Amino acid sequence: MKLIFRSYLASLREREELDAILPDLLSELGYNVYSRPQRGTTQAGVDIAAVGVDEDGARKLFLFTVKRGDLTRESWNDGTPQSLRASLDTILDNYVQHRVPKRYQALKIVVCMVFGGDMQEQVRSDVEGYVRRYSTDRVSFAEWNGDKLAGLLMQGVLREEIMPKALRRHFQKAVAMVDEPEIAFAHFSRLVHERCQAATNDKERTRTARQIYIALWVLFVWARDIDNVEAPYRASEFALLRLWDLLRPYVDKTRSAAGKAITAVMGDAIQLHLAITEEFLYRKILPHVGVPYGISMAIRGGTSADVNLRLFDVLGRIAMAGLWIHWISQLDADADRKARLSAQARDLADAGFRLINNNPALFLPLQDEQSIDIALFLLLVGAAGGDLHDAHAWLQGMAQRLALTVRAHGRYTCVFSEYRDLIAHPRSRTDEYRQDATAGSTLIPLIAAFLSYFGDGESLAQLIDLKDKELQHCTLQLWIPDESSETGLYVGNDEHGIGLCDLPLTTDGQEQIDTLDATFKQEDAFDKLSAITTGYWPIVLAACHHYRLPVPPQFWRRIVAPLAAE
Amino acid sequence: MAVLPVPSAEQIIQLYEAGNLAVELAEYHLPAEDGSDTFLKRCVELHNNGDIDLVVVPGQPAFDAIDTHSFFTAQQFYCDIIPQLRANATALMACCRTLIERAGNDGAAHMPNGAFRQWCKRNLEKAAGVIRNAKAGDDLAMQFVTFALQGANDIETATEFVREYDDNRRLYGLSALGQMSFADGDSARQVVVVVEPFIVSGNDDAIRVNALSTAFDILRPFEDHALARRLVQSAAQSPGPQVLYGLARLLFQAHFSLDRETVGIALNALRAIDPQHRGTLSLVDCGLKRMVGTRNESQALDYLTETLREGTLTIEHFNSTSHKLNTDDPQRVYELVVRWLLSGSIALANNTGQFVRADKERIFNTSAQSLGLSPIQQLFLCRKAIGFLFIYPVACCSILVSVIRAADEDVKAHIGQLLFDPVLLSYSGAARNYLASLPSTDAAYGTVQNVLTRFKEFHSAIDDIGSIKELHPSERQLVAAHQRSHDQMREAHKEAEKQSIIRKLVHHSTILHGKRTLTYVVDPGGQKRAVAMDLQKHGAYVELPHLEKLDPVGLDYLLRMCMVEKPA
Repeated sequence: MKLIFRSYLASLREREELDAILPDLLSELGYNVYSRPQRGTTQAGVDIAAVGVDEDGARKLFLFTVKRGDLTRESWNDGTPQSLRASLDTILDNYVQHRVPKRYQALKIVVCMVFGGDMQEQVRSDVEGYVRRYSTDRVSFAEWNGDKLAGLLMQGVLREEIMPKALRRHFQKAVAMVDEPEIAFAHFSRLVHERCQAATNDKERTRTARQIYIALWVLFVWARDIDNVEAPYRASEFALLRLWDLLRPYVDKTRSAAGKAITAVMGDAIQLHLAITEEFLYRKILPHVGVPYGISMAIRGGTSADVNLRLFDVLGRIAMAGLWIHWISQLDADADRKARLSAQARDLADAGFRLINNNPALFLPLQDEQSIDIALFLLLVGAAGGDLHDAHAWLQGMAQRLALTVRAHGRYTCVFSEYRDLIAHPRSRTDEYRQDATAGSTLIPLIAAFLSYFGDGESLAQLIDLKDKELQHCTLQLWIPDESSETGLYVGNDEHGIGLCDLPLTTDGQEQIDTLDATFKQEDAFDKLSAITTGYWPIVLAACHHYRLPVPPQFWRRIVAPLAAE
Repeated sequence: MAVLPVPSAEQIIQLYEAGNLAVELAEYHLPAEDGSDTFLKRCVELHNNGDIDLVVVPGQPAFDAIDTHSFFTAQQFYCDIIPQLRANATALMACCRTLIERAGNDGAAHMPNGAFRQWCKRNLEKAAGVIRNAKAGDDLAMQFVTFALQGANDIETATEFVREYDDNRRLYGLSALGQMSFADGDSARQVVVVVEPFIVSGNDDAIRVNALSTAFDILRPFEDHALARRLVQSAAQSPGPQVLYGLARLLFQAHFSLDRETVGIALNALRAIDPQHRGTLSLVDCGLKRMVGTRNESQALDYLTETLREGTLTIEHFNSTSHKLNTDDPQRVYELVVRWLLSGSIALANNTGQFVRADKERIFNTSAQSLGLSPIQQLFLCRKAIGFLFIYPVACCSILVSVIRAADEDVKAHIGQLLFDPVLLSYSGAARNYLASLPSTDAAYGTVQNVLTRFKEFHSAIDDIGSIKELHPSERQLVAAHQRSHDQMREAHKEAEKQSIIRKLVHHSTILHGKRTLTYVVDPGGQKRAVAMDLQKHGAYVELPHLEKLDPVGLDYLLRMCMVEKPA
């Protein structure tokens, strides 16, 4: 286990990545962290400041300066302000002299040199000389290398008393099988699920949140090392949802320390999820969305079903990333940053369209549940100011392809979810099989709703004709949350929500819109969801994305309809 | 099959008297030293001397008991001896009838009729008796009167039968006339004038076809295009199934003796053919095949084109013709394929596949220059080739290349685009190799090189992406897909085995291990003999279109659009 942590710590790429877990690690070890790292800045050389009990039993002030990887001659002292020696100088000259909060001025100070790897031998004598020279009665120095940090992880947040052996095994297997994402995720989700089940009080919930977060980091770093972040992507989305479920009880308790602590972890976990998404999208996918069939060919599946399933999955991830970024931009008070984030979200929408246009399998999903990814992407387009004309053209093409494939008994959108059924679809070109395969549809009402926003009566008429002639048996439906969704949505429970059935199809789409609006008035559970009331609406979308639930139409009625009307 | 020694006359008599001669008649016997058939001679002599009666033997129970194969040996024996027998005509006709009935539907069943005709020729008085009895309404005599008339070459009576009777005797008369010898053209034409009214519509279908057949049999030695045209015109009016069969037979047997117009009339009538009438279809197919390469070729191809355009028949119904076309002049096949693709008829174009898949895929190494197509037609042809011949990428490419060779720059650019997407994007193997093989002297070289360069750049961009592990299917999915593919292959293999003719003829062994086999067989002498056999690998390679995986719906949509597109 320790080796896993050692390797993880040594593989961290950025200083911020070590910063990210250190405060939680310290908190779990009993330190009171009063200064957390700020992105891109240090406070007079100090990345983290905390008060805690030292090995000699004395209460001391710990000032942490953090560097990534091994401590080398360059990172010790290369003449730049980022070197460790420069940071130590600043701490001694500035922080120790002027910035120690009054309430801690009586405490002795330990300056901790933190780095994920080891101190290289050629620099050790320099460091030791520095330490001897500047150590005083009040100020001492400590080396927190990878080995020590791994030890602290073992005895702190992930110690055996709070993470039993069985669960540790799940964690170890998740890390070991990270190149087999399905298996790795199965173990990780089991670990998270069982920890969350066991967390019944404030302390346990807080600790569980931190454990999940740190475990996720370890998984991510290992996955990144072997160049396959699929498992951490799924794990991080799942972790966000379970963290939200841990946080829910504190939604109305603004003074709860546990609530604040879990909120902090939640914020960090969102950042981590975006970092993982970024690793996947920005490094691997987005540079190639402009290559015709590029992503399709990179899937390297044996069947067209592999290509179709993966492409829509990628589109859904682009949408979710864009929606998270759009959400963050809305919360950011800094105008420049806000504009930058908004542009980033819009760029993602544009990238999505490039992906669609260069990978035409995205013009028709194989599975009805892929309507989730379509809805998410349309939401992003609406929210981030993407090109609605492109969206319209995409849906027009989709309606056309749907009609063609259904009529020709081709690879039309089906309700099956088993992979074996999907690769064999259509197993038979008979009306009987087609009836089974198209028993219900969330895709058609979604397309119809958007086509009606775009005023495209012609395409709507095509859908109506299809429904009247070939799909009479097909139940057109959408899904909205009900009262039980608040407890079921974030943990992946299937038994909640309302299926809105037999939605009407008309050439102007107005009847469906009226039906939806009437339903929203009658069923207001959506607005009462904790993630909605607190403004964390992407959590609901993440739940839909992760647990494969149709996106509640309230989202697109509110975000896209007004834009389309303009 | 055993060959027996010839029994003596006494033995033959003994066998006859014991009622067992039938079995002996069904055996092969050793020939005499000069090659003549001693057994046959001996039997004829014994019969003509009154020692035995061969005519009654087929009616005996022992004859009924011989197996089918032996029966035909006996039937052949009778066909050889009948002309030499001294016999009562009625008894002989009964004997022939027995032999014919016993033969059932076999193609050789009616051979005794020929023997009876020969007998009549040698026994003119007795033949006259048969004719008299037939006139009097005797059933057995009527059944054989055709051969009696033929044997006697009695044109006058046969004509009288045609003219005077309206029962089966008219048919017998017609049949008889077809096989008679005429002194000159005029006498033949006089008889045809008698027969002609029975060809016109309104007559019974069987009478019409017999009259048609008879008329042409009579006319065969005397070339008379005008009369032939008149006869075919009559037959072509509201033809029934049998008349159509007759016209098909006429084309098969004698298209070369008919003028263009007459062939056209017959072919036009044959457009009404019922797909269920396989015999007629097969005859038309053989007739068309014979016309390919003759002055009637264009009419044959027109017929094929128009018939297939209607959609009820496919090129599979004209296997002989398509095989002939496929193995003859490649330019003619090219022009036919182009014609069918340009027609805008889906039914017609659907049949073009037959001309590109003989043995290995066909390459049309030609130019569309001689076809004089407009730029719009050139592009239309290319899209049609993609729509209908997409699964034959090399043939499809070669058609596109043939058009490039005759196209202007604008059209070349458009075709280049089609060669890239969907052809090369789908087939990076055979199609690419074909395009790369074009020499620099080829008129299409520049355009094709541009396409290949673009394709190379495309691949380079794909290679630059490298491996994105996150996108790869999981192990579970790979196993499921592999299993499905394996199951499909096994099913296809089983199905192919079921349909294999060879599989039904040979003994089948499954060898589980080893690269050769050793089997011991027991010879007739009871000795074991080792039979060794080396095992060989055999396999088949099919390149599936890559777009079928990347964008199956889009590909299907494109191909359908190309197929349904109509000429401007």
